[in-house]
Amino acid sequence: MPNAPRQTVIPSLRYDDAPAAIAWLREIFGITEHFIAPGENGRIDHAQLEWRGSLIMLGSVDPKSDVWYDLSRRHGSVNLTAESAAQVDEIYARAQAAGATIMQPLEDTGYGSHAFTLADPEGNLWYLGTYDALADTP
Amino acid sequence: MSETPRQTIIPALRYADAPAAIAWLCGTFGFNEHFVVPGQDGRIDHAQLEWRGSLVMLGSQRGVDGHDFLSHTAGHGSVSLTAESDAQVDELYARAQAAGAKIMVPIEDTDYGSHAFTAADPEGNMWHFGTYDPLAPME
Repeated sequence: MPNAPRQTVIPSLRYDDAPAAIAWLREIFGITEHFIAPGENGRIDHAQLEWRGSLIMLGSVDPKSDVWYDLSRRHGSVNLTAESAAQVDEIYARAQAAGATIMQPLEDTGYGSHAFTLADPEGNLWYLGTYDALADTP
Repeated sequence: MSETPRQTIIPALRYADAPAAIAWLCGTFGFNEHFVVPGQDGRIDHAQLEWRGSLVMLGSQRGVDGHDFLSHTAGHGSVSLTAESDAQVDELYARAQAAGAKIMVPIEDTDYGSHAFTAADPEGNMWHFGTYDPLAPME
């Protein structure tokens, strides 16, 4: 296990208002800033946010970029592996208090996950659950 | 470092033809089937594909059953992958070209020190491969 590579497959997202998204993800999930490359006019050229040792990447939509660059705008989908049911409960309570759009209410799933799914303010989907897809991987 | 959790943030994708996507991703980029849950009528209810010890998750679009809010993500995925070497990037680039993948950014040495390219899969999701490792320890 100590020799397992760290995360090598990283979701990438685009936001109209990246600074607001970074603040929102910190408030709700406790996702923190790992590396931020600010751009002009309040834009974020590139950001890496960290949660439990893994990363997501995001940036501001670029009005002059090719379409592919902003492809994931409002259509992102990310799964987070929580460390405990209590952590899921805590984040769910924070999300509700913040008025987040709950897509799938908190439940105990048929595959044993304590989980919910919400949409962030720009419509990207975030699943948070205790199911650890890598738990049984040697 | 051995206390660092394994991957806890996993990209999730939806495909109109998930079996074809799995075959394409495994054949072109060298993903392996980690866990696959087949559904009815040739659909994939859930799949986990592994690459260098990390995962992507994917499944078939579920049409208009009114429940699958994930379906609107189909064709909008964007994933960054950390390659182990320049040679691996070169090999993947050659395979992507041979597979007829649409190359969005040709292979290049970026100004941030990555040997990298970006290709679209057959349903338009973006895959960026590069040697830049954002989790490498800072010296």
